[in-house]
Amino acid sequence: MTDVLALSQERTQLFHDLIDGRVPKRVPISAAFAHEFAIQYAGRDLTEAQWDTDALEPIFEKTCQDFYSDLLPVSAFRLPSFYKILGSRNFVMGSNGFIQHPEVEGLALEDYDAFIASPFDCIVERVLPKLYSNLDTDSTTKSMVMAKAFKAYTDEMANLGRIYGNLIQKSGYGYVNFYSGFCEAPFDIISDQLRGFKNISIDVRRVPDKVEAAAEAATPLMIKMGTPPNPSPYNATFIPLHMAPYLRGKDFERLYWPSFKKTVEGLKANGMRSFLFVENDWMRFIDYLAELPEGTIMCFEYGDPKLVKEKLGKKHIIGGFYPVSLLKTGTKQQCIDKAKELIDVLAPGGGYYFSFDKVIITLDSANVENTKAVLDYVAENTNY
Amino acid sequence: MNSKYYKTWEEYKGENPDITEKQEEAMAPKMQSYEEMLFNFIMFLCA
Amino acid sequence: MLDLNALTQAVGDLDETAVVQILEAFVAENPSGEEAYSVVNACQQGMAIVGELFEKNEYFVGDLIFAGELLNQAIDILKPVISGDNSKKIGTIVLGTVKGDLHDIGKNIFASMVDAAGFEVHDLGIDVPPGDFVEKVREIKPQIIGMSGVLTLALDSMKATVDALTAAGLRNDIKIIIGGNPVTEEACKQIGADAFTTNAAEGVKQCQGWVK
Repeated sequence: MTDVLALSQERTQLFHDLIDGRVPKRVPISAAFAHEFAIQYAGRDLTEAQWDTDALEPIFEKTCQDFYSDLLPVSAFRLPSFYKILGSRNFVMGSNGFIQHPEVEGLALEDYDAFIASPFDCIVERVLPKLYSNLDTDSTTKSMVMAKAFKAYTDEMANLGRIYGNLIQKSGYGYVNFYSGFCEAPFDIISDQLRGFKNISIDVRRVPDKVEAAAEAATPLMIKMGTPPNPSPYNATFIPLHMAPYLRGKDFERLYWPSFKKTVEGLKANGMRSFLFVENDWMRFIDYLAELPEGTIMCFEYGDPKLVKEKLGKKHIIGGFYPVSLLKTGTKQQCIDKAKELIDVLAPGGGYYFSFDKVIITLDSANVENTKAVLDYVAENTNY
Repeated sequence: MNSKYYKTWEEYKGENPDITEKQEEAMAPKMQSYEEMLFNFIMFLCA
Repeated sequence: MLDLNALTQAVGDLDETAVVQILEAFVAENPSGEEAYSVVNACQQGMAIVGELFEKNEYFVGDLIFAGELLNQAIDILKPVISGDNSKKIGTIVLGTVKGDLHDIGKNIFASMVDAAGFEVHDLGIDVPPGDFVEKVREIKPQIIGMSGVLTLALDSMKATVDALTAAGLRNDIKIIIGGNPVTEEACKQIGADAFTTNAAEGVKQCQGWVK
């Protein structure tokens, strides 16, 4: 057996132990960098590299070589080709080459009823033409734009899949994928691209019945979307959570939680565990999180690690909390001390993997040397 | 799913009753995989 | 004349039905401009309650956004009875999300809140290059500039904008406030802004302080 293969098996074992509820040999590490970071780190032009996805492999490989992780640490989510073909209004490349998300309204207030009656029809007929200007046209042109975009999308995904596979093999990463599926909480999908942040905040007060019914209607779609063709107990469906911290408790309880919980339970019934990015501070809702199915993976951005360990540590798999902002501003020693502090709280008894509190998106969001030092520290000093 | 833009295999078969069992075995997984891919693409576009 | 305290409370409670009812009844009585102005003032005091509840973690960002909407709606109802003189603006603000950044949620919240607080607001939109800020400042001579951003790289653009204003000889005539996720006291100093905030309600207070 080659060294790389043995390494891969060892790392796979770390995550299998984590997922199966055994204490692993040491704290498993899942570092996460966005493709934008990897491109900048490799010294390449952001605009060019995001279009030339065939050439991303050596670019990603450089980040893989220099930053320790047990799972593949680079991924790309949104690429410009298909958004451009569609005339996207919701994902637009800024003057600096970053794809960003301006506030949009994909679903008009008067279209709630259509969405509630048949969410997928409503998305195809009414939402897509509002989000994508090149679909706001006659049906023949629309079908041709859609054909080009779908071809571009499947090409990009195939490229990425091939690159991921090569890098996992070359670098000996574990065969565990927390991004094997993707969906959103039903309330979030209605908020983010459909109604927009401002509108949903108003809808919650003015038309809560419609919001509730729409979240309910979106739930089966989210479960379907989040279920990959071949579910595996060692993979997960990524669900980035968004709106809850901006809601009052009683709005959360009625409009956000029930459909989200059903989504996670529905995925579980389909054989998929959920990997939640718990954005912002969810400590107000920690008792709700405790109700989710056993073994749900949660990466926390902010909040109280002690409280999370106490309330969720026995039932769920915890990661996150390590502030990327400290990697930018702290000294190397401060950065390592912080890792130690978090590990002392979160690691005992297992159920914990090390990750930063968010994906590192740009080269200037963290000091590279600090980032390397922290990952190396965890890899070398956290044997159980 | 109650949508005119998404067809399950059963619905497809209902519209094409002449499909033989042998054909079905060969066709169904592939036909359905494209249905799923397009569904996922469309959902990705508004997520 | 209506019960100003009840109105303030209804705004503070974000009770839209009550606020609209009170204001529509008030407008129907054909009040004087002066009376109308005291009613606007009562609404603004209601906004202060909203701000306090936000600081106490009883309201959240979604509630702030709704509060901005509610206040715009209140002003719309009152417009016919507010005479030109009494709706005099307390100051002028030029706002924008800086170059390279397309995020506008925070900027929009802030814009509707300063608007409701009585400022004349010129919103330049998103991805605004330094030159556009300079041009607008020359044109309308505001007291305050607000720069917003969510990405870390927005800090560089904010600095570039301040530098451009200095180079154009306009810096000393204006106050500059920066807002958004990445802003800190340290960043504020480095950029050369006069104030920073990650909380729209606080930012409004700061701006009111400047034009007093």
